[in-house]
Amino acid sequence: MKCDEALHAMQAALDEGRTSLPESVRLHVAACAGCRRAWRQLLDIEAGLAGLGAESIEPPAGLHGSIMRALEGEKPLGRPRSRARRLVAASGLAAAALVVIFAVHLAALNRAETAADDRQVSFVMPTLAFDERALDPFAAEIVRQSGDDLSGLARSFQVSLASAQNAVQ
Amino acid sequence: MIGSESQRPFVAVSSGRPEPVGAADRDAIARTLAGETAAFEEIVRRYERPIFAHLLRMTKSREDAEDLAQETFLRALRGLGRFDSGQPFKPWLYRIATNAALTELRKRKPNVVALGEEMEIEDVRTESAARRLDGERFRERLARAVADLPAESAALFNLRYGEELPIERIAQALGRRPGAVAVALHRLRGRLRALLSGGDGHEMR
Repeated sequence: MKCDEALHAMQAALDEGRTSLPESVRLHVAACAGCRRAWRQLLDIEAGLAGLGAESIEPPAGLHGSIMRALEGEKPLGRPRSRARRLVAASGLAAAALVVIFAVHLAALNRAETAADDRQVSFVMPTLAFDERALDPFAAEIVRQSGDDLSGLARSFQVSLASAQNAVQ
Repeated sequence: MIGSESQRPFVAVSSGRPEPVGAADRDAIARTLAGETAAFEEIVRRYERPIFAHLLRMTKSREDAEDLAQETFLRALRGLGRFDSGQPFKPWLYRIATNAALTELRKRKPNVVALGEEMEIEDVRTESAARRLDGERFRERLARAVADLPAESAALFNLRYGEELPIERIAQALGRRPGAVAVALHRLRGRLRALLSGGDGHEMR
């Protein structure tokens, strides 16, 4: 083991609140005066920092009153919802939106085919505007993150419908 | 003897799983969200002292720490509906406090040193072995070095050695990755070790 590796292992041990070292590191430290000294210094520092951290800091006498005055008339903003509930709600909303869009798309295609068969020129273009602003912010985020977002999907359907319309004309 | 020191500066609390919100906190949070805003005073009483200490260590000013403590609890109350009850409350509250302090400090001094960047701790590595610091002097210089830590490193020090939080909780409180917190902690210890080291080639990186 190299000294660098031993020093890293010492730090990792302290990170986990341990003051003992793995066997391989102990063997190195036992044979290396520099690492032995480094380990003792690190233990001194760790103990010194812990002592400083534990020192009591006395707050101002009026701290509690000043905080409570700052909170007067205040209340939590927004609706409290658990993460799980938000996820379920957003997923349900996204699934419902997909179903509606597909249904509208299929209906429109059927109409387009019928119109082509009848050689009719008129065509009703369905509007598939998907307004993310109407969604709960968290649901909108889910929608945005779910691959090509639904508004993009709606736009692509509109393009395909427009192509069908042109073909009919 | 190496590896058998009885010193144990703090107890590790690294279970790898998020601790649930304490029952007392959970109850006070639920009542506050249900409209009993007075219940939030229990949260204030429980955390006002440690939050003040945290802010004082960051700002070095009792007046600023008091103002920021008010700001912290105000933000916490307003944002309580966004708190995820599946996560521990303490790191969430400390993150609000830390961000409030850093925002305020950056307004005054835009180049506030970020966590893990260079820390100005007095370097005495050139001292000869004969002049190495004795215990009392070492403690004094250690205390001075800690008092001079830049804001985010001071927050790291307080969360680790004042609040005794494990690294993953510190990471939550500082909005950093655990790896970045560990690196910053290693650098902090390494630079403090320069107070004792005679430049023997075993410096920390």
